[in-house]
Amino acid sequence: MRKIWQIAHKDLILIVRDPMALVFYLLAPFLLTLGMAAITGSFSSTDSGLSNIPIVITNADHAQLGDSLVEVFQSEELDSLMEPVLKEDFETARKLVDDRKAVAALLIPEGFTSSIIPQTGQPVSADNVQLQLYTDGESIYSIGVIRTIIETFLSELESTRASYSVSLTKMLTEGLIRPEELPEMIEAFSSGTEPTNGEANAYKIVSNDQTFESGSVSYLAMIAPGMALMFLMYNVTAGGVSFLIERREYTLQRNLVSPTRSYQIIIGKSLGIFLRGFAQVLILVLTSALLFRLDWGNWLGVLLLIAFSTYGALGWGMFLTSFLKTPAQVSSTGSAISLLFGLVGGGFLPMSGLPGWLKTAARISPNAWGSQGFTILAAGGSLGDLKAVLLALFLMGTLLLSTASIFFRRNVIQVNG
Amino acid sequence: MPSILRANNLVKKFGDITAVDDVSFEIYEGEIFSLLGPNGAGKTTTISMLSTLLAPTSGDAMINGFSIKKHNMQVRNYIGIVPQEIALYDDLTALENLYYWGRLYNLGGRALELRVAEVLEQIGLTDRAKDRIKTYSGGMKRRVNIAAGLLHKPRLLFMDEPTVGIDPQSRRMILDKVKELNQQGMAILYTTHYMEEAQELSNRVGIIDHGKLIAVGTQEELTKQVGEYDSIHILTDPMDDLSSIASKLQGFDGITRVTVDESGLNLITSDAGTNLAPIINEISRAGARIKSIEIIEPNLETVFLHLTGRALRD
Repeated sequence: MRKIWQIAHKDLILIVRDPMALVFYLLAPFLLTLGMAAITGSFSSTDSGLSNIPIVITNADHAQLGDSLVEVFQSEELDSLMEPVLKEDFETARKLVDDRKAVAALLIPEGFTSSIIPQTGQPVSADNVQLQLYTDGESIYSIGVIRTIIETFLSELESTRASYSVSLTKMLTEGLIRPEELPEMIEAFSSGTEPTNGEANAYKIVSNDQTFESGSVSYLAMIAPGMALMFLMYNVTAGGVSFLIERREYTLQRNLVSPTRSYQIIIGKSLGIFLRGFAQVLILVLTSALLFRLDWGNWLGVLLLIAFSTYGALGWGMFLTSFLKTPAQVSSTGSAISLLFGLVGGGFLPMSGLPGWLKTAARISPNAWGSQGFTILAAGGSLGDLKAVLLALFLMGTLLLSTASIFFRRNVIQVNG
Repeated sequence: MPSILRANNLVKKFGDITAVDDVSFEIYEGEIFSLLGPNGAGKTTTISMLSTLLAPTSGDAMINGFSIKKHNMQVRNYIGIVPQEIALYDDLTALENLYYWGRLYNLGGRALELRVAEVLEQIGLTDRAKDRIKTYSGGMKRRVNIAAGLLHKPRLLFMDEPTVGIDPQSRRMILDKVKELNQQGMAILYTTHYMEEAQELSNRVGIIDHGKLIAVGTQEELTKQVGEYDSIHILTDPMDDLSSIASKLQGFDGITRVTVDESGLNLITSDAGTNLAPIINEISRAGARIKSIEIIEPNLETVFLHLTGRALRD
């Protein structure tokens, strides 16, 4: 283990000593992400480039607020952005999402209005009536737009109720209502504002059995995960090149004739590449979270996802290096594959915009799985929700690294023992 | 004297090319054994097999009783390597390089610290130890390259053309270092295509050409193979019909062998003093212009010429 760490540590020092490589590995992805965000618009602009987002709305409320929310989605202002369809049955609406004919189904449940505005002669609802949003789980940016619209609507509603509170006070001080009438009016008011089931927020949006936290559409959020994963692929293929460079400069041979097993050298160098890749993505995640308040979700999940994505990407990088002959071959092939994986894995465009077959094909890339994982986390997903993604990345990395180690011994190391 | 290395019928093929062809030799404890041969003769491939870097196509070698094919990890503990190339990390300092290589040889802690300081002192680079290798001259790099192979005090050191491309001062230092290490009891396998180095350093010499070990012995034993013959090298202006001149000279009394190379004619003669005049006359008659004549007493160069018909520099 000590030798493995020595080899990894040496590779890390060599990167730190090479300022250009350091800039490439650690700063370039971040700068490029900022650049792209700047080109495509401000970091929180609503000019998303998205249009005609298909949403299915089931208005079971059939009352004032439910109707208003539907009107918002059907308004002229959102005409080019949204493509709402009304369905009476929420199950039908969900099926349209499952069939990928809509990115989300919104249920405005029965009693939504009355849970907020008590109706004359009707008892106050004891339940916390919630809007439900069922999504395809992939179209995070379109979903983000929908969430923003809903939350804006709810925020307006909140402002109105705040005004109502101010009005009550004014009416009391001016003698327009009697003090003995106040408790009844406050009760009516508070029954709509305070959740009766003890939860903190009366206006939660339930999506696919998970609860979204509030947030807004951010271009940095759109670009950053895919960009991070694409640069991760560049990084690990460039790391793989270091094997061939060491062979060219005979330091690999010198390592191999020392009393060090070839597997220790392969693992040691792989560990160095892994740590570099991990640091690269982590720096991008941290800086975007600190500087631009990007919410990446559960931090333990983020760390695990970075680690497993790096492992999957490392598999690809080592696999390529193991059967290509020269650093130039690995660099050009690695760049092409990194770009390809970046394209299909959300590096430039949301994966939800890809045709179905390409989405399926993209599953061979760590980028696609990583993007899915970041999407889950950004949507408030837990570690449990990441299981499939992490397992896929682990299997990908293990399969590719095992294959690579066989090719390595035959093609790169060519050593006796 | 017990042998520390015994190579038995080593063969290495790369596709259809046989780089090392049935090579067998021994190296005894505490001796310097030189493999002398021109570029491409198979010296580096032989060292690569002996150092366990390349697996032999056939044959085997025992180092301190361990097979290079079956016990490569044990073998690696006994040997040190000074490769022909500067196999160091340019962006690490000499100190960092030596610590790194030392740790790969299972050294650590205070023992490694002391050993690194010792070898830096031996190669005269203590003052520059904290400078990166890329700031060093070629000769300084060569010295660190050697030091990295000495850290674990190997019983057998392989030095593959360690003086290629360096200045005379560094070369002198390296040759002196080789002698010093040998005096300390280290056996050394030294490959070179410089006859002078082999002559100066070696207890025994193996002459290798086209992958075959064509002669092995002490310098005296090898020069005896040539007998009392002298070698004459005649440098001429380039001309097409040197071969026809060589054919004519081949028939002269006292001339045993004539070969042509890029620079002129190589002759082996029983008595250079007596035979030189008719040789010059014949060359002049054929219209060739002689630029210089070199008469060489029997030495390793003569031996190589005698055995292969070519000069070492070819």
